Amino acid sequence: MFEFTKDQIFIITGASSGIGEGVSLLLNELGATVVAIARRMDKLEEIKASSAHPENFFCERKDLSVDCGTLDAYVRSLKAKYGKFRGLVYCAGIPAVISLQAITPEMAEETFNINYFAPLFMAKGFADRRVNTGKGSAMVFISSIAAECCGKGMSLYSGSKAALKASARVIAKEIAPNGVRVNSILPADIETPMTAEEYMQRRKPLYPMGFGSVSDVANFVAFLLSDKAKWISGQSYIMDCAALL
Amino acid sequence: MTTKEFLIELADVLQTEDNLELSSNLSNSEYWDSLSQMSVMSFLAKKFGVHASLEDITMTDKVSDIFDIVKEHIED
Ligand SMILES: NC(=O)c1ccc[n+]([C@@H]2O[C@H](COP(=O)([O-])OP(=O)(O)OC[C@H]3O[C@@H](n4cnc5c(N)ncnc54)[C@H](OP(=O)(O)O)[C@@H]3O)[C@@H](O)[C@H]2O)c1
Repeated sequence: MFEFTKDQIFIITGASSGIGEGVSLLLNELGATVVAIARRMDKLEEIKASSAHPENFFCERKDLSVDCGTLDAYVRSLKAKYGKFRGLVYCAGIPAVISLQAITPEMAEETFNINYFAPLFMAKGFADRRVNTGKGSAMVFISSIAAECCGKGMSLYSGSKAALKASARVIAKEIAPNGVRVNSILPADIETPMTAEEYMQRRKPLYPMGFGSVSDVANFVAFLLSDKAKWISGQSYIMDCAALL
Repeated sequence: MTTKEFLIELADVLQTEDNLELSSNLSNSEYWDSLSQMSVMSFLAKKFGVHASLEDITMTDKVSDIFDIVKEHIED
């Protein structure tokens, strides 16, 4: 496995639940300092209390879907509070399953704000040379298999996740000269609070090796953030255990 | 915009914590690359309406070279 040190500070969004929670707890267990962001502070505090090193686990309440264009400044304000960051893991997101005819501009805005614009402007903040630790630092975005596969009612969600995946590759190219790596992960069905029980029952036959778990994704995130992945950037990785090929 | 404000904004565009002076060297600095050159071009266009050529910018050696492009818009 790999280890981190407490002076390696990571921002994790969506840290109050599911994949973001798993990533926060794992990085903290591996020795890193974690700045965990979500709207539900009570959940974040509970997760901090259960972490391996609560003294290196910091909670920040923030609604990332509001004023997305100011999130670069928000990341800079976090740097002023915690110091330079080694990594950013963007896990926050909302599902949107709705037929084309039922889509409203408000829904489109809500989905794209949290799934695309927020990570874009957080990346802008993180990429600022004054904010990251330079060579060795990395960003990981949680996109989705929906960026590649078509499912009815997924036009908004798939569009937002495909946009995130595409931008991540461009950002990787733009900021490679600064030594910052950027990758995205496209998980298929992972058992988290986001995935409804009834939906998962229907999907079960597709997965001969079972659904993915939060720890499957968290382990891969930790690898991509570590120096073991120092020659990996600009990539997007499907995690589906051959189920949806 | 005053010279001091120009230097502060330019430092922000270049994403450096250094205190820039007109005499500061750019060509040897770690933050002077193709991306920051593009950022400087859009900064000059947005703030001063000055459309500098890529050549003007890439030939820049010191901060004063950029300052010279817009100095008629500087108040002091
Ligand atoms: N589970 C899957 O099968 C699966 C598959 C592919 C991709 N994904 C992607 O993986 C990511 C994590 O999914 P998950 O399954 O872990 O979901 P989850 O358990 O529902 O967690 C979503 C997280 O996003 C945060 N969040 C949502 N809206 C927010 C906002 N406006 N401001 C700040 N934080 C916000 C939530 O925190 P608060 O509510 O406390 O703010 C929560 O921590 C998502 O981007 C999802 O699209 C999931």
